[in-house]
Amino acid sequence: MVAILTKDLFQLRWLLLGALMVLLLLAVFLPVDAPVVLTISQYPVVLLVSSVLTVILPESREEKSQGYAFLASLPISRVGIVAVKFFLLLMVCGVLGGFSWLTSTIKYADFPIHGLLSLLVSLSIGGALVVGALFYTGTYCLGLARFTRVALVAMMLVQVAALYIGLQQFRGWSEESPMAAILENLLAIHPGWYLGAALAAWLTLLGFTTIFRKRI
Amino acid sequence: MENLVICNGIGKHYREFTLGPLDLVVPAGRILGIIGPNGAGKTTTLKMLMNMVKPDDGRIEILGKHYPRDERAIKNAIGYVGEEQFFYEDRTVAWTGRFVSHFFTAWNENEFDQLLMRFGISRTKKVKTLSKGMRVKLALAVALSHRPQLIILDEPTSGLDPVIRRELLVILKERSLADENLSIIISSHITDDLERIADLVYYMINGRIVLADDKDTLLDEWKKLHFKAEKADEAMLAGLRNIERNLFGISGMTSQYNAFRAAHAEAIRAGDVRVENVRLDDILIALMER
Repeated sequence: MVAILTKDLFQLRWLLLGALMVLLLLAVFLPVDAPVVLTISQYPVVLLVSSVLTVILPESREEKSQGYAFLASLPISRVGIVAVKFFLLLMVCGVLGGFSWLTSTIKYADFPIHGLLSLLVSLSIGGALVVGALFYTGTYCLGLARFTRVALVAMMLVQVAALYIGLQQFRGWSEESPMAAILENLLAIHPGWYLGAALAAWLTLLGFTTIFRKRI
Repeated sequence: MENLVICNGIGKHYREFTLGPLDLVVPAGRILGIIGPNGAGKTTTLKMLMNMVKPDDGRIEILGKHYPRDERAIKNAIGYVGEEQFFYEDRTVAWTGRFVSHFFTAWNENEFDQLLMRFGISRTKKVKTLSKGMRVKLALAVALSHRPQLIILDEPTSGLDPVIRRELLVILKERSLADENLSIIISSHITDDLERIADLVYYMINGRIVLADDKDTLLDEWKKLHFKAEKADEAMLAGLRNIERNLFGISGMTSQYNAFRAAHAEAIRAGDVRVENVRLDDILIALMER
């Protein structure tokens, strides 16, 4: 367990140092009177990018060097491997989240933005952990290839829904603009067609990649 | 004698291939060779023993323990060398040894160093710079450095030159002689290797074990018989496999030579029947042509 954790941490050392450095620079150089949107958006971006890379970098390394095949020959269970990977994410989120919270508290303790910032840091860390837990559980149960397909479909459905809702919101703001007619036409289409088109695109992509893989 | 591995009716079903049901028993201190053509299911069987492939049917017991509950304990007692050797490519041989040492309770760093020296592998070399032969040797060094009770080798000698192949077999034989409780399961389609070291031989064809016996018994019972055409009668040819007729006479393979010898001692003595020893691959070919 410790060996896998150490190996992955060593691989992530520059990412962790970089993320801590960026958070430190934000704490030192971002003016306290900077626009609120700018201030509150920086911390979640750093935390989310770092946590996503914490998952992706070791996974890509394991895939590249067939690391899981190697680990499977050693006395460690699959559950153990998944637990270590999730613990690593927990550690990284804990360190970066704790550092973000500490620096932002020191800097913004007396400002009304502090509460919002703390909330966003917590949400980013929580979101990363939930996504990480879903990823590791999904890959454990389904395997990486199958889980990636399921996740892509789920993400596509969420994005189609978000696009549709977004278009409806936008219609309210832009009745006077040249976009209005286009939007009206787009919204006149039944939501089912959006879904159907997205599914067709996905199936085409899946079919293409499968054929391509067979040719290889 | 205690049985280290007991498999009862294990099987795996794929869309185009069904493996098993297989019954496999490996007594302590014996070397079991699994012979079969490519695609017979040897690798899948060995992977099931390592819980790398989950069997759809049956039950596997290794050292009295079962997967998945005792996975760590079982693998702690197994040294595994797969068909391909996977390591972290960017890391050095020394790092690989240190990494692996965390997992095995009986890891012996001195032994690992000695094996590396014997194999001529530099500790500072990166794994990706090692040749195929060196990778097999590294895998074997890892597999032997924690004093396993069971060694599983999946086609370890395929693709290796004859010198390295011979060296690997010598090491395995040495280990087997040094530790009388050590069992080895080795799969190969290079039957020469198994003929040198195996005690027991299992023949596997199309996902089934079609023949299993002591190597010596097999080589004792399976013979190729050559008859003078005019002397061969129906009683002599009964039960023979792969019968061939040509200008020089009739030949065929028997799997019960001792019974044949008892029944036709006179013909053998008179030279009407010439007996030829066979090799393990001759038996495989006979089984496949049946």
